[in-house]
Amino acid sequence: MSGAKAASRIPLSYVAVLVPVMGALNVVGGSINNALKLPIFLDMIGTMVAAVALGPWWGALTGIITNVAGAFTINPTMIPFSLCNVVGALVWGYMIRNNGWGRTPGRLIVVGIVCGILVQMMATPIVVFVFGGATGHSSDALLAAFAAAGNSLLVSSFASGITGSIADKMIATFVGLAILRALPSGLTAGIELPKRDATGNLVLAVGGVLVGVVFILITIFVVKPALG
Amino acid sequence: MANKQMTVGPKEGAVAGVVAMGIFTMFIPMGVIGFQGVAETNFLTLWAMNVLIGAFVIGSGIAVLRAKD
Repeated sequence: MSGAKAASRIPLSYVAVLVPVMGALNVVGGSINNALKLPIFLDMIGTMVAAVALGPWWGALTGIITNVAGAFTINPTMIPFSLCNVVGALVWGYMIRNNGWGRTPGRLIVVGIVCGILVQMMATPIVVFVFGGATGHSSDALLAAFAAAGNSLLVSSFASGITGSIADKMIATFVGLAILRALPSGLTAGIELPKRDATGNLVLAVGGVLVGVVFILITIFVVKPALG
Repeated sequence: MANKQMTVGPKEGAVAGVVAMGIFTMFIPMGVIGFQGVAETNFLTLWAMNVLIGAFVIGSGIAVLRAKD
């Protein structure tokens, strides 16, 4: 059972500052990812912070603001994917903030994996039914390889994005955790997060990012060559 | 003079979710803006309808915010 007792009422000033700032952080992350053509997204770190610090639905608002703003600055195809950001916010918010799943690093890895799978389940029908399989993301080549191997478009889309999605959510979870630890303690009071000093937080964040990078490397060096 | 800090709770959180969905509804037609063969008049009609629905959704969120228990 959860022992989490996050504050039920939050000062409005925290919300008014965190939601737009975290939305901006998401847009910056998405822009960097778009420029580097990485097989991940990096546009949900702020969503994670808002969902855990403020609550799942504030995270959802942050996610939608991100994708609407990103549509003007990065790529118009981002708008339908707002729902992926919403799913991520709900998973992080309900699991970590409301149900105490942020207590240990191992539990946070589970949260990252669950979030990656559920977000990919949301993204797959959008990629297939709205965009016909091509969104311009770097995972399109992998999708084409899966489809050429005889899989349906839905299966190909899910399989091509799942490792990248889990890597992305893992990175978002642990980088977001580092940001959460740096926020005023009043904002995270009652939320169960791993207890670490500053160095421990850094080690935890780097460790989480490394787990995400392992998933990216699996995508690039194992999955892609296996498909030819 | 009272200096009471304004706070938000679960009800306002739910309103945030409803307002977020309203914003999403208003802008979702923009996702097809780069598609080939989408006529401008059809697009504008779709967008206008979505803006209307989105406005109603946001209005419902504000109504929840103003509702007294």
